[in-house]
Amino acid sequence: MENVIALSQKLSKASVKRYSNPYLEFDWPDSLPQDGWFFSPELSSLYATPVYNTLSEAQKKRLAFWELVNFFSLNIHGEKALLQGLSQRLYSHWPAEISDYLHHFLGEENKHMTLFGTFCSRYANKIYPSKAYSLKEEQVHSVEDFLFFARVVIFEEFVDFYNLYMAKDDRLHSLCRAINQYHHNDESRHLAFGRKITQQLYAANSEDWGQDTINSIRRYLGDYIQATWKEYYNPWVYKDAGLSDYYETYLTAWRHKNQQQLRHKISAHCLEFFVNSGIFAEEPVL
Amino acid sequence: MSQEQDIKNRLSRWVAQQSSDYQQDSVPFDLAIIEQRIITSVQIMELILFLEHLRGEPINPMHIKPGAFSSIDSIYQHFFSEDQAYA
Ligand SMILES: [Fe+2]
Ligand SMILES: [Fe+2]
Repeated sequence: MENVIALSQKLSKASVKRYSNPYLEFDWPDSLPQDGWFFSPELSSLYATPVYNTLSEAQKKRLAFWELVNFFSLNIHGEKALLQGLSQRLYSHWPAEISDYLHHFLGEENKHMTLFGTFCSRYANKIYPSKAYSLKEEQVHSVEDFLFFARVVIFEEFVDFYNLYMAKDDRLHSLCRAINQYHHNDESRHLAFGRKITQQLYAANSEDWGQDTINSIRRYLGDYIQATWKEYYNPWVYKDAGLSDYYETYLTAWRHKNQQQLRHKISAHCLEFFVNSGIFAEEPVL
Repeated sequence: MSQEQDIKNRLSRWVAQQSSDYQQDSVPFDLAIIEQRIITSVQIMELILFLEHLRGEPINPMHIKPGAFSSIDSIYQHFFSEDQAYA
């Protein structure tokens, strides 16, 4: 745990230095322009699928708006699970320096949720529900801890790709870019911590777990990656964007090779980490 | 065919299609599909989307009661029957 402690101290310092107040930092206009872009078109879950090419520019923008609402919604759901898992691990069996950093992590996630939640409530009047549903399986403590942080890395790696891309995309509305930038600023620290502790927990425990447990961990994380990706494809987004066969559209988009390629591109960095750490023997199907 | 029969048939065929190990075209309505691992955790997400499609409205997984997915009968009971309407 020595290297995790050292990193926690470093990250805590950085979090103090970058401590921010999003309540003061953000201006929320009464309404948003109808003709603006709110999600980078190339990242749309329908991009380069047959239906996308039939849409007019205005329809693409409308779709992009609802894709952003879905993206912010899935962030909220992921962060809710994150807050639960992090608070469970405060002052538990790890050194105090780690709790110090978990406080920052928690506080920052809570602020992210207020931004995402404010945007969705104000401009979309809704937050899409998550489709994630897990059948509870009891695990030993060390496996639970490891899987929690592995899930955090997967969730945050994917999100961060979108954040970084959209923060730089000058076609997008300034509020949308600012929220993405704000999120990315904190996520780079969270990811550094998440990767380090995931690696550490795996290295420290995997020998004791045995091959059966490792195989089930691999299966579980492969499934988790798929489930995480599925949240990006939401039939109700397509319905809100005015498309008629929204369930069919969802099925087609999910299976389309161009979308599969997009998922590969976005997941590459994350999968590389899991393979290089020895956690995955090979890359899972996306 | 009653609406109940129709929905159960569609669910039963859908579930059978998901499992590569399952040889029949449809599963019995009372088969324990979770216990028998015909449907896995990750497929439940797909099932929720299919149920939403059949119902024509979104489902919030947070409101789903434990045991809702245990068989075709229980899925129907939870998501389609009027007296047990999913909240
Ligand atoms: Fe966050
Ligand atoms: Fe984060």
